[in-house]
Amino acid sequence: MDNMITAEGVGYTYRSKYLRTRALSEVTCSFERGKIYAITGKSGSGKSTFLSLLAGLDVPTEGKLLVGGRDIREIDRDKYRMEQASVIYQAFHLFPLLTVLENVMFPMQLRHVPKKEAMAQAREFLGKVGLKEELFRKMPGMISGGEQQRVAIARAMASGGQILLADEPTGNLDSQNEKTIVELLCKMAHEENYVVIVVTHNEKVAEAADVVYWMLDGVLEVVRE
Amino acid sequence: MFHYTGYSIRRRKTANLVTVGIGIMLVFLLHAYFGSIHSYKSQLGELAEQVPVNCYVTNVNGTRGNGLFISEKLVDGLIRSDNITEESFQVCLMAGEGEFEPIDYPKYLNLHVAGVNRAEAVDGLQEDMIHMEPERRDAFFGSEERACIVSEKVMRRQGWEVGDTVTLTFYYYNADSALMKLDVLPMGAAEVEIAGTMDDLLGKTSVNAMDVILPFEAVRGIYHQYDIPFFTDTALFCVKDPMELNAFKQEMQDIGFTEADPLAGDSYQGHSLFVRDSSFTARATDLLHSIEFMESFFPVVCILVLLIGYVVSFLSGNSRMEEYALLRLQGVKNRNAALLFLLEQMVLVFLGNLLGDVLALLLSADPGTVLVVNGILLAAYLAGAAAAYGRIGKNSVMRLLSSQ
Repeated sequence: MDNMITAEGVGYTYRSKYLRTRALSEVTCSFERGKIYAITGKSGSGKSTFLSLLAGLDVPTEGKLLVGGRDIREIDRDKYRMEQASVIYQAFHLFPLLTVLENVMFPMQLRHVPKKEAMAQAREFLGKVGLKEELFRKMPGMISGGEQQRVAIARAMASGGQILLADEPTGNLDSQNEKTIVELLCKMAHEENYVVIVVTHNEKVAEAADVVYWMLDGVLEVVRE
Repeated sequence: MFHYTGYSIRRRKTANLVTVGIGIMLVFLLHAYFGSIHSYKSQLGELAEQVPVNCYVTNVNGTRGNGLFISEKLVDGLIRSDNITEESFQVCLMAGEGEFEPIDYPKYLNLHVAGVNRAEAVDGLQEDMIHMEPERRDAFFGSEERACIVSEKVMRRQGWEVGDTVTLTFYYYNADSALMKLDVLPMGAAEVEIAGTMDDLLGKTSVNAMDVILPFEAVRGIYHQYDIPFFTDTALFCVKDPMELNAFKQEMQDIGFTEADPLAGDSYQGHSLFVRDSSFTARATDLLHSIEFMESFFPVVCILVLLIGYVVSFLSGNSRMEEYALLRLQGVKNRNAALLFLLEQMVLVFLGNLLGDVLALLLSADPGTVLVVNGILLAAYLAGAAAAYGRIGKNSVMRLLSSQ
């Protein structure tokens, strides 16, 4: 199995004018395709910070984070997010002005996929996450939380990358929707060969993962491999 | 990427209507501001026509405006000047029909004659009172031809017909060496063609009504013929460009005119100039002060528009932080994400601009200010908007997404 993402002694310190807070310390781990990883830990332990670094929203202040063998500092991180890595959040974060279908088409249109083709593929992705056709033209605010999260996953699929990062993806969902989303994430890892990394408090999500990490005060430890 | 702007413009109806409304309001305010300046400038431009600066040659103490002795040098200086317009010159003589000896002048010297360069130079005479061939009339007063127009009363009395050539013996007014005492002296005879007639001026003027009128240059020619120094007795004119009063006054000084001195003694010598510029100067000064005052606010107006652009965009941007973070999360570059929002503001403000222009023009705004208004509005407002959206780009996407 190839290591898609490798962290080598990654550390991160938040710097403000008056304060420095060390959020991550000496994190070393690797993530492979076809597996689902869960990172658990208490609030403020540094899980989301690590996920943001994996998404290329910032760079480590210490150590190296390698994506496909290349240091994340040296790559075009906007292009990385556009073509390789997608993130889904607890708050869904769909474009409020775009319909369900347009939200899923958006990453493809950014890559200049023709509108018709983008629309056809978006329909396919929405079908894969089990969203009904009648919801395609609705605005995100008009559908349930579970449906919004499925749209977010479909949008992640539409980005065309193989890295899916999820920050508490089931945090706002009921148990039925939680189950559906966990199944979808597992399916993406095991059947579609994605690297799926989930930051979660939820034990059920952690149980479904192939590898479970525990993070405490910015230090990552393997719980189950 | 820019298709997102299209969706946003179509779907953020209320917020966008507010932005368009702000654009319309700003266009109105700018039209009012630049319209005022334009109006003042127009008034200033038309001031010379509405409040002409009239001048006349007067004697040394400024008490006489006609019946003067204005030297040929001064008159020639006025004729050559580029700074004056509508100049009227008049020289008055006495005449009698036929050739006669000075001893007989009480019997024959019964015609008041004037040499003028335009009809208006004769007190009470208007163009429609003159009856002569139209093609001749236009050039008559500016010519040197020895022809005249005669009052109807004199035509009847003398038994003259239009087209007759009559011999007139001219007497000219002369003053003593101190130019203090008037005298009438014989000049000589000249043949003059009667080119037309005029309505009787008697009763229409406060001075002696003219019986015979010749072109100014023709009279000058008769003076020269008899080697008599030529003097004009009235000279009136307007300043061509009152905004260049100083240049005009300098030229008049160079020609030889002096300022009237109220304390000087009386004289018939006409070498002082009276310039009626007080009304013009007062009004022009008021207008110039108003223009200066309004224009001094120009930087304030620009900064105000810029600030409005900044505040509107900043508030709009603050309410759209999630969208910004999402665009960045999808891989849109920082600069492009800000550009999307800026483009949206550009479209909305441009739309507000257009609607504002149409409404302002319907409400009689000046079309000449449209380009200036639009230029200022777009430049200043969008500079403010660009500054506001530039600040959004300084936010950490990581924090924005985790705080939602």
